[in-house]
Amino acid sequence: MQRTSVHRVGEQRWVRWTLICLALGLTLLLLVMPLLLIFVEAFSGGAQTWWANLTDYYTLRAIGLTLLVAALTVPLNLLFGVFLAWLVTRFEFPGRKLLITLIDIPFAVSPVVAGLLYLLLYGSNGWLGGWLMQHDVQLMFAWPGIVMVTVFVTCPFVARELIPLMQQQGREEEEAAVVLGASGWQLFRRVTLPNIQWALLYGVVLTNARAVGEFGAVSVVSGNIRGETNTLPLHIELLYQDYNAVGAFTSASLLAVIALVTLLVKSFVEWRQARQRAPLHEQQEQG
Amino acid sequence: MSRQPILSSLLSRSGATLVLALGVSMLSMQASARELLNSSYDISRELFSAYNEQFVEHWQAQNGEAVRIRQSHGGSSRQAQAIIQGLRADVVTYNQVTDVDILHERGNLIPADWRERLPNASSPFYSTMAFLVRKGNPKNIRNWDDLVREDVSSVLPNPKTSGNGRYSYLAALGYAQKTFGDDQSAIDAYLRGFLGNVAVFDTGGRGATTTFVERGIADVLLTFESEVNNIIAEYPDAGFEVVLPKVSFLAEFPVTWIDRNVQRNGTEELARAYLQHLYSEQAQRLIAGFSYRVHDPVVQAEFADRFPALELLPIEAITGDWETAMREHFANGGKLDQLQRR
Amino acid sequence: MNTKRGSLLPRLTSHPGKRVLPGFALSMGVSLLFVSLVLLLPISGLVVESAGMSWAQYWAVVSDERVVASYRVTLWAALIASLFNGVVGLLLAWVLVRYSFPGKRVVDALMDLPFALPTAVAGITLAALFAENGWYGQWLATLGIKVAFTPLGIIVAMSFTSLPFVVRTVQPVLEDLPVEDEEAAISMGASDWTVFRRILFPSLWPALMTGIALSFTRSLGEFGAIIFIAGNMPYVSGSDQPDDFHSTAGVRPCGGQRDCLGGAAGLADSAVRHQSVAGPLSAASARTLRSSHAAYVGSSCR
Repeated sequence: MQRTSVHRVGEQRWVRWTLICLALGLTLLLLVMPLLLIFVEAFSGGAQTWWANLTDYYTLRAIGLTLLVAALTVPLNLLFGVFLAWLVTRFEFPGRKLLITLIDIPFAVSPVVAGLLYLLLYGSNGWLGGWLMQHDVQLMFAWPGIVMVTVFVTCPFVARELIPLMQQQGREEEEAAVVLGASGWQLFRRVTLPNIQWALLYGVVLTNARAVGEFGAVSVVSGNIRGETNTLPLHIELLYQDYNAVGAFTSASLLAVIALVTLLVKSFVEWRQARQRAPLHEQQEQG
Repeated sequence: MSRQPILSSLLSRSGATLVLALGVSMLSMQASARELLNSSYDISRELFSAYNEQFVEHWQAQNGEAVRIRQSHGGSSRQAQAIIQGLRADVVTYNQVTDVDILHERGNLIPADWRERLPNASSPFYSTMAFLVRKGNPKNIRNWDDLVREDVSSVLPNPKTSGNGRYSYLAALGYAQKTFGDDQSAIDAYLRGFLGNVAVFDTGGRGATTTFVERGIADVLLTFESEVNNIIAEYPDAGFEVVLPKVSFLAEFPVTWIDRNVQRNGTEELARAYLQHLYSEQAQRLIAGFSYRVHDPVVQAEFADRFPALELLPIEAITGDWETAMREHFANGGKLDQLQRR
Repeated sequence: MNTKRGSLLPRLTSHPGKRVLPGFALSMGVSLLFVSLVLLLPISGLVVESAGMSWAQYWAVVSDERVVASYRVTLWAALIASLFNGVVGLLLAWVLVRYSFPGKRVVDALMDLPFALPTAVAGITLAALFAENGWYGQWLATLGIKVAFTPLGIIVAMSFTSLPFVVRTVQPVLEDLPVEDEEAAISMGASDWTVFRRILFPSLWPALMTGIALSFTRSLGEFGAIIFIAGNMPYVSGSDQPDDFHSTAGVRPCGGQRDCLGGAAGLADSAVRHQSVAGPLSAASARTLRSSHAAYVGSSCR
C-alpha cells in the first residue's frame, strides 16, 4: 500500500478502530469461544479424566478406524488429484471441460445423499449387492464402505487446488525439460512437483481434515457397530447421546487439535507461496 | 532456489504406513474368536454390556470356548433397515415387534413364525411407559389426562422413528379409548392435545432424555419405565420423580436370530444359546436390575416392590394388531400426521 | 508465473494431436477409472431412479406435505444465515484486508476454522453454547430468546459452518481493488461513505453475492452441525418434520415408515427428494466457485 497524501475509505482512526473492535469481537464470539468451550468441557473433569476418556477402549478403536480411513483416503485422492490435474492442464482433448465439471459432483450432492447412493449400489438389495453377497464380500456396514464414501466426498480437493495453479503455470517449463531429455518421472519430480508442492500440501491437508471429520455420509453406511464401524465423529455423537458430554468433548478436542493443525499448515503454505512468488515478481518488474 | 522434496509427503507416507499397519493389525485381531453381532436398540447399551459379559462367562464355563459379542446400537427402525441393506447381524434385540417383522416381510431373513421360536412370544423382558417429572412434581402430573393441560409440555421420542415414541403414543391412545369409549372425535381431540403439547420430538430415546435432562426442556419426559429409573440413578441430585400411570402400554422387547445370517456365519447354535440365556434366572435378575420387567417368577417375586402392578394394555386391545397400528397411525398420512397438522 | 514472461521457446504444442508431454495415456486411464468408479457409478443410481419414476411418483415424493414443510424451514434458515454471513463476512474481510492490528494473522487463520472443524464437533459445541445453561444460552434466556431446538438454532449452525465462504470470497476482491479510483474520488471531496457506496461496493457486490450464494448452498447441505442443536418438531411455525428432519438430512432414511423401509425404492426416494432441493443450487454454485478467483476451495456439505 503506497502512502499518498490522500487517504482511503475508512482510514480515520475512529472508523478504523471501531471496525477492528467489532471484527475482533465477532471473531471472539463466533470462532474463539466455541473452540475454547471444546477444551474447557473436555478437561472439566481434570487431566486424568481426559486421558482416561481418550484411552477408553471404544474411543481408541474409533480413533484407529478414523486413522485407517484417512490413511487410505488421502493417498488415493492424492494420486487421483495429481493425475487428473496433469491430464486436464497439460493436454487438450475432447471432453476435457466435461471432466473438469465432473469433479464437482461431490459438491453437488449432499453427503447424506452420497451415503444413500452407495447403499443403493452396494447394499444387499442394490445393483451390485447380489453379486457381493454371493462372493461373501461385505462392503457396506464395514470399514471398506466407510472408506469408499469418504473417498467420494473428498476426491475434489487435491484436484481443485492443483488445476487452477497448473493452468496458470503453463506447460513451458515441462516442455523445455522434455526437449532437454527428461523422462516422465524425472519431469514430474524435478519440474512440476516443486512448482505445485505447496498447493499439493494444502490439498492433502484439506482432504485429511475432511476425511477425518466426515459425518453425514459415514453415518448412513456405518452400521454403528461399536468398536468397529464407529469413526470418531460417530463416536462423539454416541457419547453425547449417552449423557457423556465430557467424553464427547474429549474426542472432540482431538479433532479440534487436528483442525488447528490444518489452519496452521494453511497459514504456512500461504506464507511460503507468497515468498515463492515474491522473487518472481521482482524478476518481472526488472525484466 | 533449491528444490526439496515435500517433507510432508515423506512424513505422511511413513505415517500412513504405520497407521495402515496398525489398522490392519487391529482388524485382524478380531478374527481369532468366534463372534456374534447383536443389533440392538438405542438405550440398551449398558444392559447388553453387562449381559454380554455374563453370557461370555457362561458360555466359556459350559463349552470352554471364548466368544466375542459385538454390539450395534441405534434407533431400532434404522437398525432393521441396515440389516436389510446388508448388515450381517446374527441376532436382533429390539424394542418394537414391527421392526423385527419387517426383517421377514422386506428382507426375507427370518421365517414368518419367528415369534413362536422363543418363550413369551420371543420377548424375554418387557416394560411400559412412565412419566419422568421434575423435582417435587410442580405441575402435579399424575395421569394421561394431565398431559393435555395447557400448562404442561412434554418430551418424547418421535413415534415415526422410535419404538419408544410409538409406545407412548399407543399408551395415550389406549387411555383415550378407555376413557372416551367409542367417541372417536373425543379420542382425536385428546390425541391432538397430547401431540400438541410435545415440545420436542427427538430421534431416539437417548436424544429425548438429553433434551429433558441436560437441556432442561419441558415438564415431563415420556419414556420406558426402565429408562426412567436409569435416569434417576444417573442424576441423583436432580431429584427427578417417576410417575406410573395406572393404565399403560405393554411394551414387548422382541428378540430373535437372523436365519440367513447365522447360517452364513455359522453361528446358529451360538445365537440361539445367546438368546435363550436371556430367559435364565441369572440373566433375568440382571435384566430386572436394569429396571425391565421380567417373566421369571422367582425374580419377579424378588423385585415385586420395584414394579407395581399396572394394567398393561397389549397392542391387541388398542388397535388389534401392529399392522393396523402402523397403517392407521404411523404411516405417511396416518393419524399421527393428520392430528399434527395445523 | 511463466505465462507472464514471453516464452523464448518455440511453441511445441501448436499442432493438435501432437503431444510432447508424457503421461497422457496413464493419466487418462487413471482419471477415467477413478471418475467412473467413484463418481459416475453411484450418481447413475440417482439418475436412473429419478428417471425411472413417473412424474406422478416424483411429484408425490417431492411435494409431500411434511417434506415441503421441511423445505420451507431449511430454505428460510439458509437464507437468513447467509444474509447474516454476508454482513459479518464483509466486515471481517474488510478489516482483515484494510487494517493492521496485533493478532491479525491469527484472526485471518481462524476464518477457516468452520471449514477445518468436523461438523459433529461444531454441532455439539454450538449445542452446548446455546443450551439454556450454556455460556451464551443463559444470557439469551434472560432476554427471553431460545436458540436450542428452534429454527434460530438451525440458523446459528448454518451460519457458523458457512461463514468462511463469504470472507474468503470477498477478501481477494478487496485486495485487488484499484487504489486510484478510491483516492481520486476522495481527492474530489466525496465523503467516505459516498465513495464506499458508489465505487467500492459495486465492485465488491459480485463477490459478495457469490459468497452469500455459496454460504446458502452449503447451509442447505448442512447436516452434522444441525442435528445436535435443533430438535425435530412437525409443522410448528415452519419447523421441521420428524424423520426427514430438515430436507437434507433424511439420514435415518425414512425413519420408521413401513412404506419407506427396505429396498432401493426407499433409498431412492430419500435421495431424489434431497437432490431436488439442494442439487441444482449446489451444482450451480460449484461452477461459480471454479470460475471465481480463489483456488482456495471450501468443502461444501458435511
